[in-house]
Amino acid sequence: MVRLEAVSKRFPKGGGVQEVDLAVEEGEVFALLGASGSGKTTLLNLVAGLLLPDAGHVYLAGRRVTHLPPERRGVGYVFQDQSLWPHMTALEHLLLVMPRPDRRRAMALLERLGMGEHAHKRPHELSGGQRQRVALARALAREPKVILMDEPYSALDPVLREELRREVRTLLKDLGITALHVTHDPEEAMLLADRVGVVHGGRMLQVGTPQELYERPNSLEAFLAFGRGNVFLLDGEVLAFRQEWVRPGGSLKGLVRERRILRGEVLCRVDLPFGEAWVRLDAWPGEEASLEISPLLRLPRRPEGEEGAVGE
Amino acid sequence: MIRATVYLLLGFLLPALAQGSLTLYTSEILADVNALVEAFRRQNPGVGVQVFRSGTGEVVAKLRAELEAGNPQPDLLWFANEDFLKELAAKGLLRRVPPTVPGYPVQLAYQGGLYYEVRLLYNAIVVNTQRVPEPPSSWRDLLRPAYRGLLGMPDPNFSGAALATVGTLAQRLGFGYFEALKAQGLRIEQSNPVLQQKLARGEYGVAITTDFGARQEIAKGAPLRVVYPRDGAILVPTPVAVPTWSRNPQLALSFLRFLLSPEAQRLFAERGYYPVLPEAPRPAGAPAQVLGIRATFADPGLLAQFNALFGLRR
Amino acid sequence: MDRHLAQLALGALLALPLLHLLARGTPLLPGTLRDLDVVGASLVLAGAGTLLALGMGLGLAVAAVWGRVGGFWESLLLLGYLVPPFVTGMGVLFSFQAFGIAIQGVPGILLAWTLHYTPLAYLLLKPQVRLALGLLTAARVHGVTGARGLGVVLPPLLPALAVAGGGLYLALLGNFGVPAVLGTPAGVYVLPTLAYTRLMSPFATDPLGQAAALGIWLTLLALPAVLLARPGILEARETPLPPGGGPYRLVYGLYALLALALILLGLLREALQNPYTGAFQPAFAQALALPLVQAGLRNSLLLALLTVGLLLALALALRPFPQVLRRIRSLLDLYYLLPGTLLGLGLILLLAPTPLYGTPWILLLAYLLNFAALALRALEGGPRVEGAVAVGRVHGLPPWRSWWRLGYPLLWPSAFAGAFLILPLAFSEITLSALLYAPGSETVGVAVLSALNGGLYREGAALGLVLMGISALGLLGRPRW
Repeated sequence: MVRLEAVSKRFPKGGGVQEVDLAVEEGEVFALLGASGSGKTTLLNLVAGLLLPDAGHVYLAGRRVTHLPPERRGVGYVFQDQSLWPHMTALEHLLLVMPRPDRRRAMALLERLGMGEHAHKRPHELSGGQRQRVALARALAREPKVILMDEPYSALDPVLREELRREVRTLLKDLGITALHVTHDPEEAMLLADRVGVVHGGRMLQVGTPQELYERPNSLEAFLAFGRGNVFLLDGEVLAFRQEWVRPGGSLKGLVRERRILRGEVLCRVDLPFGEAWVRLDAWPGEEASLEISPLLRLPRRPEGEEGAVGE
Repeated sequence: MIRATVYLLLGFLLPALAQGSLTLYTSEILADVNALVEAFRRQNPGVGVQVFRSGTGEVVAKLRAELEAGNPQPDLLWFANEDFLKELAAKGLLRRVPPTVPGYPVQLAYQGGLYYEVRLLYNAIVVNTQRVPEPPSSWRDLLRPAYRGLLGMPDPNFSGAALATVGTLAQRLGFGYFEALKAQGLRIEQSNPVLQQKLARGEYGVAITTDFGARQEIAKGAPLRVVYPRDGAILVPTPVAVPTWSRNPQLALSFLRFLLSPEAQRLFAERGYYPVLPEAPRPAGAPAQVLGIRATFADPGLLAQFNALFGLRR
Repeated sequence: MDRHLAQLALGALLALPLLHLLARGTPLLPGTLRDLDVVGASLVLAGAGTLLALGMGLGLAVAAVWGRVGGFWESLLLLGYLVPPFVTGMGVLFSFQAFGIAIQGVPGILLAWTLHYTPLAYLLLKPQVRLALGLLTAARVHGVTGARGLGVVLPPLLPALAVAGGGLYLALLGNFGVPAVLGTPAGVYVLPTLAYTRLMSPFATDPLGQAAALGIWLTLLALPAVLLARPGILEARETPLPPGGGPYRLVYGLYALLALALILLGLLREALQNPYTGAFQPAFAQALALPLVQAGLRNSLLLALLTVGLLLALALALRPFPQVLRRIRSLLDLYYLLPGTLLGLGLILLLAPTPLYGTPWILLLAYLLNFAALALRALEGGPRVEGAVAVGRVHGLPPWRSWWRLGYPLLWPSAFAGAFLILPLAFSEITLSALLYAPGSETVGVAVLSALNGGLYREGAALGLVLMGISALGLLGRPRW
């Protein structure tokens, strides 16, 4: 439904994306996961036509749209800052973008998003969550095959975020809309996406289901993109494992240095043969623990890769 | 909105395009010109009269610049710089339009009627009666100690009448007269009207200035008195002329004739001028006869001397 | 390459009046050596006026921030800037006359300039002062006080002071109205009034050339500040305000009232009272009955409306192409920054041989060039609407429709503010119109000046009050400075 072929875009001030390939299936919710500045939003803008690639091609529904202006691509877009139009009411937002303005259908969509009573309010009269719903309704109003969402929940408080996230996923699945969803939050990607693509330094590092990415990252960056963990730089390779991949009673010996409780979990700092690590383990300082780490990832090391352990 | 704009625009354009339009370059007092123009337009409905009014110096300068650019605008000239008119006459740029009104004093039509007076203007001594109880009676009286620090006159670089004062008095009394006036504390104001305002408000006590302007202020209640010196008030030529480049000579001629009509002559008297025609009324509070001496305008050399004496810039 | 050529051509075309002026004036430059005293006077007066206005503006900005001065008092202060400078000059003249003091000459010019331009300095400085005082509050929290506190406040203020000073200096250098009202009658000349005098001199052998040569001096004096100055409309950000105090508000209010009173009192007295009899005799009817005034009001209104309409149309048309808008604006900045006398002289030199000369259209052209930068800036500095337009396009609106429904409606407030900023300025313009007007195309500024020179003080004062009232309209469109 959305396909990128070796798409590159450089910016004069640096950044951009290089030779990104991507294929999102129809009806799929696909998350682009990466740190800020990794190029995720650039990819969205390339799909939307707000940017034109230096090289490569963009396809939407099998049609090559690489150089089409944005208005002829037929996508919906939920912007990170919502980008609502301050002079228009919620309803007017919808009516303006509908190819054939239809008040009843617009109202129905607003009601579906719980915005029926706010249809005649302008953005400044709405709360953050309500604005987000208007932005979403606008993106859906022209019945796009593809919707692009750029950190749509980042401005919301955790409770609201959770609620809206669930609603939106249901809605997208009901309507069978393909969604390309940008986020820096691995948890969000995991909860929401059918598949995830890890973007780092303008490249697509790995694409897979959330589970695949969690368990079998193909690089240190992919590993880190999906949450915290212990990383050890050895000659030629990197050893990595997550705190929760540790079980007691293995062959690996380590001296417990420190004990902390974090979000209901007991974590210990342990001296392991390849270095110090935080692991999920119920032990006391001074004890010698026997551990098993599974899986213990051995990742290729890039010359310019990050140094040192990353832990809590 | 758009229609209103179009109408406004038309209003902007039409005066410039109207056929029946006359452009007058003059150093006459604004309000006086307005009164005349209004009266003229009442008699000639539909005729547009555009007036450029400033000090004689500015009017002449503007006209010179336009001549240099080859695009002179006025149909009618009326200012106090006879020399410039002589210059134009010598170049054949003036149309001969003799005054054909019975009783017109021939001595007021210069160069065989190339240009002529329509009313008379004198430079006289005007005093503020509150500041000066004993007015002077001759030009030389101004050098009396009683008037020290109270004296003013307009800038001859700006006012044609003042240029006549400088030329005439320097010729009759010598340039030393002005040096003595300078020693008396004579100050120079930009124009006659500005000087008269300040005189009326007591900033000055005695001024060498135009008689009609003072009479106009007297009519408004100003504590002024016009004194025509025993040795002769200065008759400042302010002739009217029609240039040959006029695009509307007929209209210019009819305006000229209007200026000699009984109505215009009466208007002049009302506004403090002496009309030229004998049967016209005299201005209120003015003597029936004035001893006048025909003015000589200062030449550039004399003006430069005067400017140097008073530190004036041009 | 083509685009560069086009830009170069446009730049040359726009600069043509100035180039013409330089070419015409250069051969006569040696002749202006006798006017070096006026060059010096211009420099010293503009410099002194800048320092005065800057100092007052800075003081008021501090008082406004500490005292948290609100909209009403600020509007009162700003009224002083919206009044045309020559009306300020007249007000000062008449007010002091009422006390029997002749204020013409250098003190009068400096006072009128200070009264008129202090609000501008205040506007330019206030956002920076607000930031700097915020820093001072922070410094106090960390125990930095007294002279060391100055070390915190001054560095962030200095660039703002330099920029504001440059802008003020240029405004003063090019100001014609105040020295025309207060200087010329007392024999005090600055370059704009001297150029005007030269142009009008009946004895000059080459009035245009001599005025152009003075124009070169004016250019030379202006040049350093042009390179320094970024004029304009400010975008202030809200920063946390330091704690306030009542006395500051009092000082601010007193100044605003005093400044207004100095201008108003004399004008009111002159316009309302017969100076000889002391009777109450308003001169408004007489003033408005003068045909010159009627023509002036009509022409000025038309010129101002046309100028604003055309410029905003141009600015809106260019707005979808911000690069082009910015380039053209930076070219036109020249005519906003440089003294209007230069533009006026340049246009006379350029257009005197054409049929355009002696018509209102030459004035319209001058106004367009003079005020273009303001109009373009008003929209350039307006809200960033590209985003809204792009969002519209992503959701299927064609570019023109996206601008029509989204971009322009969002720009409307900026355009409105721009219109209300330019309208009063254009309406009571005097520098350009004094040089360029032709019979039948007098502007109201010219009418007032000519009433004043013709001794019609009372009518002039009445008109000054009318202009003040009209200028106050500018407050309506005041953006949230």
